[in-house]
Amino acid sequence: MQDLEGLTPAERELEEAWRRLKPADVSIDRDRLLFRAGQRSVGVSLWMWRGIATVLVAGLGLSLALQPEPRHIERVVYMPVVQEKPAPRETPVRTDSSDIRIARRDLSASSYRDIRLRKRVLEEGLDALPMPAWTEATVTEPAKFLDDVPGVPLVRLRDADRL
Amino acid sequence: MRAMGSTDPAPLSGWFDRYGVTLALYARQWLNAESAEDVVQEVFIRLLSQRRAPGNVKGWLFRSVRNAAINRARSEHRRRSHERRHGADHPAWFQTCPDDPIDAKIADSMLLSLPVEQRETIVLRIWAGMTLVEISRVTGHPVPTLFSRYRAGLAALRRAMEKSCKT
Repeated sequence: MQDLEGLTPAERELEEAWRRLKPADVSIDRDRLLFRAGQRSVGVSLWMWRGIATVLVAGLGLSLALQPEPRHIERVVYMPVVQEKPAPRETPVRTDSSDIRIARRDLSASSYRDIRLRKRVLEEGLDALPMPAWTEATVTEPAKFLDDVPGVPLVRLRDADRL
Repeated sequence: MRAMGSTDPAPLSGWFDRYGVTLALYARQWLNAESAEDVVQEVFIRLLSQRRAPGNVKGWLFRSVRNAAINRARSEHRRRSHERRHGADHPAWFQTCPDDPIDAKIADSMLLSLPVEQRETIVLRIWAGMTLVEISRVTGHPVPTLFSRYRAGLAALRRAMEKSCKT
């Protein structure tokens, strides 16, 4: 009231008389008003979050769409050259004739016979086959038969028979 | 500005109990009873929608009601003149009490006879309990202007009361 010091007592009396009048009640339902206010408040926050989410999704989509292709950067790298030593030459394996001899000795006399017989059959046909035992006398000396095979020394075959 | 719990209706309920009736009376300086209550409701709803409560809630409420009521009065001007022509019944502005020195039934007609600037100042001063500085913040008018309007309004009311007593 300090800002109305200029009022006369009559004006203050009139002011007090009018102050006794009480404003008419309003027909506003307070609970309904609070409910509507709360509803609006929730609605606003919901729309706000929806808007934020939409903006974020749109931004993400835009950034993906406008993403530049990855740049290929060429760079020259100097590396020390390592001198590779030449691989050592492998010396050929020499086989002595004695080794062959040993191999031939491993074969039995019957094996030699079969090899030679097969070779003769291939070259001369079925006539080269020996006669069965029941028609002829049994061949007792295979050395005789094997003498005809070229390149096979007789001495060796005899040695094989002994084995 | 201070934070207001938007889901907590307790402050809003208190403000409504304290200022609801006076705000409706203030809005009726421009609107009929129904529109005035609509405006008051909308303002309270808007208050709860604020992210932060105003520092001066009372001032914010009266300023918002004033702006909303003036805007609505402009848009409803045609309808209001139609109601006046057809003698629409307006509820009284004040409660009827036999002990009051002023008859409530003629009080609103006396107030209505004042220019709206004087009437607005008297309502804010007497029933809202505002100082002239607070009224100045609500209306945007300087304090000396408000003071002269207030005195002129009181003088006009006195004349109206004397006239009604003579008749």
